[in-house]
Amino acid sequence: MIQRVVTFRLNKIDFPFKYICMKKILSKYVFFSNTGNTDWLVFFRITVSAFCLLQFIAIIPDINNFIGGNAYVVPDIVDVHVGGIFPTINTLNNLSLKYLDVSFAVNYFCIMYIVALLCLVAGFFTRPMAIVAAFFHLTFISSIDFFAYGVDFFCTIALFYCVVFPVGRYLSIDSFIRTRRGKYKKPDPIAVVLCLRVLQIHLCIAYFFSGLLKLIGFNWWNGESIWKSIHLSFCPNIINIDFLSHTPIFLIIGWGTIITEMLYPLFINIKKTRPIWLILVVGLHLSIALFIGLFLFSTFMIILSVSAFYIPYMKIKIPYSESKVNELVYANII
Amino acid sequence: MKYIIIILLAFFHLSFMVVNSIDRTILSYFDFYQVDKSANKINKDLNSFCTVTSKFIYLTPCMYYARYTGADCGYGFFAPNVLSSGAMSFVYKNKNIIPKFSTYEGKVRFSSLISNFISHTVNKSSINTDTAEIKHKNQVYKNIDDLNDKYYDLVMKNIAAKVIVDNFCTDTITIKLFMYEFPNLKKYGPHDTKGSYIPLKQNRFSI
Repeated sequence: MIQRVVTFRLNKIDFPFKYICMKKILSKYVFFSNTGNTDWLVFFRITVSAFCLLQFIAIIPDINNFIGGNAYVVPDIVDVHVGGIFPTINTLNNLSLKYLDVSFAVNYFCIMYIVALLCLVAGFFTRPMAIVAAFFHLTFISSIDFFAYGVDFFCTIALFYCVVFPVGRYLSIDSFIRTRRGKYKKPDPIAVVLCLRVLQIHLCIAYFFSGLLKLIGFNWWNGESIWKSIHLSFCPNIINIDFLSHTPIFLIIGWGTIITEMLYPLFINIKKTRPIWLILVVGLHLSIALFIGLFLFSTFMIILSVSAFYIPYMKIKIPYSESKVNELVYANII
Repeated sequence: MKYIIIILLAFFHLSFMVVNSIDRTILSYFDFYQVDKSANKINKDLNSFCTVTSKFIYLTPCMYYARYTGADCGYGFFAPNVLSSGAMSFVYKNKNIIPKFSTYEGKVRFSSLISNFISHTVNKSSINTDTAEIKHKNQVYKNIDDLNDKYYDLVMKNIAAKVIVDNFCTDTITIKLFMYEFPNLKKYGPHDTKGSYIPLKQNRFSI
């Protein structure tokens, strides 16, 4: 509260009266009240871009099986499936580099995408690089349309948020450069909170509807869906729990999953139950990784939940103002 | 003014996701239980709601917006039912060829392709009712299914070509698509502990 009052008094000097009134009105509501922690923006940018990089690097040894002339599904056939709503590497190649080989276009694409993601991790030209990375990511998943799965769509969402949110304002090369030039401007705290709320509401919607859809399926009521999920042909079978087949454990896990997901919007937003629900959700995703083998998907969902509901509520004592910290870090780098 | 614009944009974005999710939930419910959409008032209302929302979601600007922002993403992972996984077998001169991948992620992504095939084969859009209107709709759906069948055959042919090239095959190759079924909780016991592969489709391709 004190911090908020101080912020407004300082801002009064710079902003017109109407603007301050609007700020005051908005900040009165809990929805827009500042959590006081902007580290989630840094965490979100770095983890999302590093994850996308890791995910892309993980597929590079097999990239020719999925994209290009020697792929399992050749680009022309994929383009029919994508339906022209978004360009694929093939359509981009036809538009701009049609005199070059498709494999060259794929290599060119890989390098561009990796560079964009590295710049995003470092916070160098953050917003333009986020736009480039988001565009290349969409091009990538359109090009491997038949091979795409859940994690790709969540990466699209997260990269879109990297474009929209002020993720480059903290702990980034951009902020170091601006601080050095004396042009560093802290992002508007209410805008930061609004961004956080959008991310939080998005996750609440995602989990609620995921739980609701499970509730619709009768196989989720008797544990059959959990049983079937852990016995899919591609599951790695790291831990075998088949000996528990005649116990009600699968029924409990099934209902546990539905309850955890459907009540996520409620209990994750209550201060006292937040840590419990966060642990439940992290546990759910660790189980998905361990039993179904969707390691990347699980990791990414944990990253999103931690970004939205753990980091913003962490209590960190910062001895210096953020601009001072930026200056110090910059000085160390030099 | 700046805040109002930001809040309105955020509201639109989140509302779009809610509408899209409700639409998908209702359609999944109809599809999963093969519900007659005109059977009672609730179903009729749900169906008319979906008709309106679908019109909005599939407007060209909305489609582009949703695709670029990821707002079109459905959240029904493993729901309402867990789709059976599958396998593709490539037989060349009585020898089974397994597609090789360098990474685990490559294998997971290839299983996505197989899931697409299973989903296409299992979920045919034709419905079994006898009214004249439904018959007409069935004919339309049948045409769509036929086109999809041809398309998936083409994809399968493409996969066959890749396997032929990679394995230096000089003769006919047979592709078999299987659905993997593991005994359910009730059936699982000391005598039934292994899954079975149910053949769904078989095609032969030669150079």
